[in-house]
Amino acid sequence: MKRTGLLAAGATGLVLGLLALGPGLAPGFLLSFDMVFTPAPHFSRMTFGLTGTVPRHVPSDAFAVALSHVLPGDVAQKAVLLGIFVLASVAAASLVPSERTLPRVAAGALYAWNPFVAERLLLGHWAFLLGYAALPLVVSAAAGAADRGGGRRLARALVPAAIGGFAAVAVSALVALAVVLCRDGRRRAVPKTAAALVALSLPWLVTGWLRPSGMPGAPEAVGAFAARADTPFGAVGSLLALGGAWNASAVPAAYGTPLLAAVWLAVVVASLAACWLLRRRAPWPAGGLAAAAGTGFVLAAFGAVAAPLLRGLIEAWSGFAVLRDGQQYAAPLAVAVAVGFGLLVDRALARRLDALGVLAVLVPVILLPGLAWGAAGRLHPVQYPDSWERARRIAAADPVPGDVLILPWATYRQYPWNGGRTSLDALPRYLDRRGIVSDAVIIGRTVIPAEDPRARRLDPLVSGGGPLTAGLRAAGIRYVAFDAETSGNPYYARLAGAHRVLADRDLVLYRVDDPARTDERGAPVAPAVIAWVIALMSVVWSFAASGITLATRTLRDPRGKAP
Amino acid sequence: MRIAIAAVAGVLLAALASFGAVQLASASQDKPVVQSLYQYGDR
Repeated sequence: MKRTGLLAAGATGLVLGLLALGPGLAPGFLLSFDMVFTPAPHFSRMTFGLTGTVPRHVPSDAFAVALSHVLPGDVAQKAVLLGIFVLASVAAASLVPSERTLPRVAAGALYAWNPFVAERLLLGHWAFLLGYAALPLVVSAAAGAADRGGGRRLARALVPAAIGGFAAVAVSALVALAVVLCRDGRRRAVPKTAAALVALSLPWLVTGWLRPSGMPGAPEAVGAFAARADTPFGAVGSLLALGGAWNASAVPAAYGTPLLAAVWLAVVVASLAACWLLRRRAPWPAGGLAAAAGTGFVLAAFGAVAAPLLRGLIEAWSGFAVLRDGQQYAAPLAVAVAVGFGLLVDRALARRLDALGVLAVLVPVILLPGLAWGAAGRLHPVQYPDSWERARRIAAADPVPGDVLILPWATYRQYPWNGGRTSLDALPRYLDRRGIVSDAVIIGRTVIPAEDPRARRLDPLVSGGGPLTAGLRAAGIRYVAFDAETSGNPYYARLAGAHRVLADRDLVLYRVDDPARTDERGAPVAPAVIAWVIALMSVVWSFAASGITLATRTLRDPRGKAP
Repeated sequence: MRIAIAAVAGVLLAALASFGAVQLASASQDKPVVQSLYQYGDR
């Protein structure tokens, strides 16, 4: 592919990213569902998944903390989000078997701007989107995995997914293995692929595996996280249109109206048809991509069409819980749609329909306007209240060890200073001490039990109606922080004997005298350190081949080995 | 006559349903965790 094509795709991705974030690019933090960045995050046992919690945030939290040591926290967040748009556009463009620039740019635009990206972005799944953005690179690298140096190239393409963690790697693994199994030389390629996937997954694999309380499956959550209809075409039709995320609040504005949804679905179906009909046009891994997209689509729809079966599977083995939030497995389908869209544009240009080709680049934005301008105002930058910083300093200056209990006893918040938008409680990442929050998740009438062992142990005490102070002291709690419902909270009456050290509209902080010393039982440190060393060495090895970067080497030969 | 009985029965049922709904709603306030403020999302 010509370098100008890559540059054009990258520039398009950047413009789309700027358009999507819009006013969100102003100073401040974007807090939307699971996306939490803070001004001065620190490395802690929690960052590395060593506190006994399920390591879903490993290693993406470590990446965010490291980046926030180089850049201001809010700038780091915007850089990551813009990087996702640029990488997605360039990666998809690189996979289109065309010598023309416009089809590649169109494919990149569609891959960076579609309902899948919009819904995952609103859900705050930036770590998952990192893996999504690099998925086309995984397709091309997996296609050449059997070649000399192929393992190294594949490992390099998997690095964004490795940063994203568990969910991103799961989808990338599906794609890599599907492509490898559909190519010649699979006996050489499969071990290389498996080795790359395992080595890069070790930070969360080891801490998850050695977690003392095992891996929870929560089969009752299947219905809550299954794909849902966000278009008139039902859950399966919505998945085909690359939407269908479980959360109704994550649907972009104006998406799903019958006219726009019907035109968008027609574009998707036409693109998929082009992807399949033109598969022999050039030596690119069409078979592997089709297998990955097809399998991914089935997995995406699994919870929606066969919920009892999935529940049964999770009850039999909790590992099947990876299929609960099914919509994320539609990501490989988005790759196929983007490439097919590029092939359609290529056909249009071959018939001298240049205007149609130019219009095609704008099609995703026209049909999904709700992602523009900070997702129609839903990605709005905010500053943390001053009282949060005061609380952080008070807790940091205190020489007495002990943890922070965070109330109200729930995981998600609708902070007034965040415009009432739902976000994960940000205080555990904001403070320099271990924050204990109830990580039970409430979706409608479904309550998914807490996974953090400390939260589970404290739940009877906190949820009961009795005095708290003595029990909290025995549990090693030094501070109790209220970051919502600070006015006249009934919990205050239960904290007799604790000292109120900070009171503000946005935060109230109590100090508990003489907390007991507690030993937190999490995954052992030594295996986690070894896991990190191996994973980081694998990343260095993948880039150190000959000083050639991901952008040049992988993209120069996007089609991999000819079949 | 039947219409009058149906109307009275309907009013009574509606009153009972309203009372029950208010009771359920106020009972749920005791546990702040079930307030919509703390929901991850809804389907």
